[in-house]
Amino acid sequence: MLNNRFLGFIGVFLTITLISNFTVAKEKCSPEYSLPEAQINSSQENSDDANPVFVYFDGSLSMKGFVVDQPGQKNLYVSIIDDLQQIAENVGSKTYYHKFGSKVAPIKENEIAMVIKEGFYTCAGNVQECDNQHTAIDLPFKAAKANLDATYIITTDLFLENNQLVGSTLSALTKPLKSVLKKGKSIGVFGIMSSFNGKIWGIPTSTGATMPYRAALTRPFYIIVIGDQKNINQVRKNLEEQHFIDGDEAYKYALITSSPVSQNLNQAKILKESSIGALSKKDGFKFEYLDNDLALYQFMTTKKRKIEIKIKKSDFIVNGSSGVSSYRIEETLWWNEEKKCRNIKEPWKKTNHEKISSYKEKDEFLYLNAFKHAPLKTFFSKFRYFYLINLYADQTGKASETIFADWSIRDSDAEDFTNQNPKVFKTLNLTKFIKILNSVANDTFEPRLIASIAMDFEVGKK
Amino acid sequence: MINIFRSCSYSLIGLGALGWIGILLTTVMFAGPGDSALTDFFAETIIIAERLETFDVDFTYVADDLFSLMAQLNLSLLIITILMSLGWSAGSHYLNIDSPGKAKIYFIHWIIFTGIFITIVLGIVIFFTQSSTFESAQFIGGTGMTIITGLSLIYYFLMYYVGVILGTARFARSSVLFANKLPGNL
Repeated sequence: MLNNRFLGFIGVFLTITLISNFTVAKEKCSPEYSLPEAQINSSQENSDDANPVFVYFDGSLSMKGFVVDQPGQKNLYVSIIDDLQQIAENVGSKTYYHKFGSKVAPIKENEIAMVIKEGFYTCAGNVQECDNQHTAIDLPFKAAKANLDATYIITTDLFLENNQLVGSTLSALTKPLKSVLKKGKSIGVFGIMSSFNGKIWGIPTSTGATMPYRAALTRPFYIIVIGDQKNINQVRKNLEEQHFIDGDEAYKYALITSSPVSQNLNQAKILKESSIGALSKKDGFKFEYLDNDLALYQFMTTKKRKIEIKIKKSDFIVNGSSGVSSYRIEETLWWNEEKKCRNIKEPWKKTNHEKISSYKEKDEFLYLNAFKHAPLKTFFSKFRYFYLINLYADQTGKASETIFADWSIRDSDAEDFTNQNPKVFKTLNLTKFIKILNSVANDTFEPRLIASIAMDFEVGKK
Repeated sequence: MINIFRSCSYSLIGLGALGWIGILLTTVMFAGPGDSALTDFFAETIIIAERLETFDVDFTYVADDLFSLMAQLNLSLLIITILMSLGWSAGSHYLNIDSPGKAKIYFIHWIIFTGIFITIVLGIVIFFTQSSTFESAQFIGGTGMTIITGLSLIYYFLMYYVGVILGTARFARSSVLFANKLPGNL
């Protein structure tokens, strides 16, 4: 009898203990907050493999020199164009080929082999028909707007005169790009220095006329790929594996995109307890991802401590893209007079801080300097604090401009440059063109949430 | 011994002349903040208002603790002032003044004793307001700190001074600043 009573008592005791432990474990120890939705990079989500590929070959006369061998120089143009058909087929299901200059004309599959022959660039018609010194780059861009699921590969020397980059011609270039970038597509620009043996037409002079130049031994040509980031990466992978494996070729690459953020660090669980530095080694430190993916750091700290969260930029920036030039921090700090979670009854109070943390970039890392503007020494040890930071990418970067800067020549400098009889000829207004692409990307860019981080902490008396 | 008790009584009378303010203040502070001028003074002058505003901390959150801190500080200062004042008053009877003018030499002793007293007062104020012992000390601002330190030094020194000026043995009065100006029958 006594035994049964005793066992019953033990049973009740254990049940109560378990229930109370469960209640404590489930205790909510944070203020009411809402997290912004983390957008997924739509350009990476499109897994439709049945997209067509449109390939455009610049048929202007200045391109002819790429197909004529230059003794002692490596002809990358011919070998890359040779492979382009196979690269295009790797990317999409069906490939369509076009030639463009002052107008666009489709070419048959069996005529592709002609692209690496001089005849492709020679015009047999009359003078008006044969105005093929002009590269109307806006035409394939316009076409890119028509089918946003397709991938567009444009091969050109990008030799653009000033008048092609102003006014209505410029808007004819930027408008379709805006539509493309708004849909989450990207533009990959591959610059390849190849041998050249021919005339470069349309070099602007101070008199307003143009002049040709034929002493160049090498000059760059460009492959512009418009489409999903994964397709652009596929083209990049193929090009690099087949032609630039040694890395000694003059090859440049930039990805212009309105979505340079590849992933949300919370969803990808990239933030670790070590991201906060030495503080993670202190007693009482705890790190976890909550059910809503929020990365939560719990700790006790001294007033003297500087808290920094280290984030590797390559963890969230699309590889090869212009990156992010500025970030935005949205932050809220709450306090509660009760330090013990179970004693918290009163609602958390939001502080009136205008700015609490800041960020700095150093090498490949982004450092989130927590409490830079509101140092911990100004905090009251009497309270418990809850701090929520949402880190956004606020503006696209401009890295691509510097990548191509040394291959670019300004309109006004073109004549002087030509008069120096350069062996390596630069591309007219290349930086300007890249700047235009970047500015279009920036116009279509929407701030992207990189990470949401919370800190639940107490500050010591000292 | 009677003279010592008499000295101590005089000293207590001197201490009481000013000390009642401190006792009253301490009692009010122990009672806690209310709708009074003292509460307003704390809210407007003593606390670190700007920082509390940034954290959106209402004065009522900190008032109780702050009053309790100030009450304990004043109580400590009252006790030390009374002890030091009585100590000197009683001790002055044991000064060996065996020749004319020797009492003046003991002025140096009084100065050192007073210096120790002031240092203790300052130490107590710092311990209460600037050490990490009392959490509510964080709510006291720079101006508040200066006011508390300044007023404590002035008030408790005056209290101590009145106490010792009246309590010092008659034959040793020359050792206390201006004490020999008192009427001879006091």
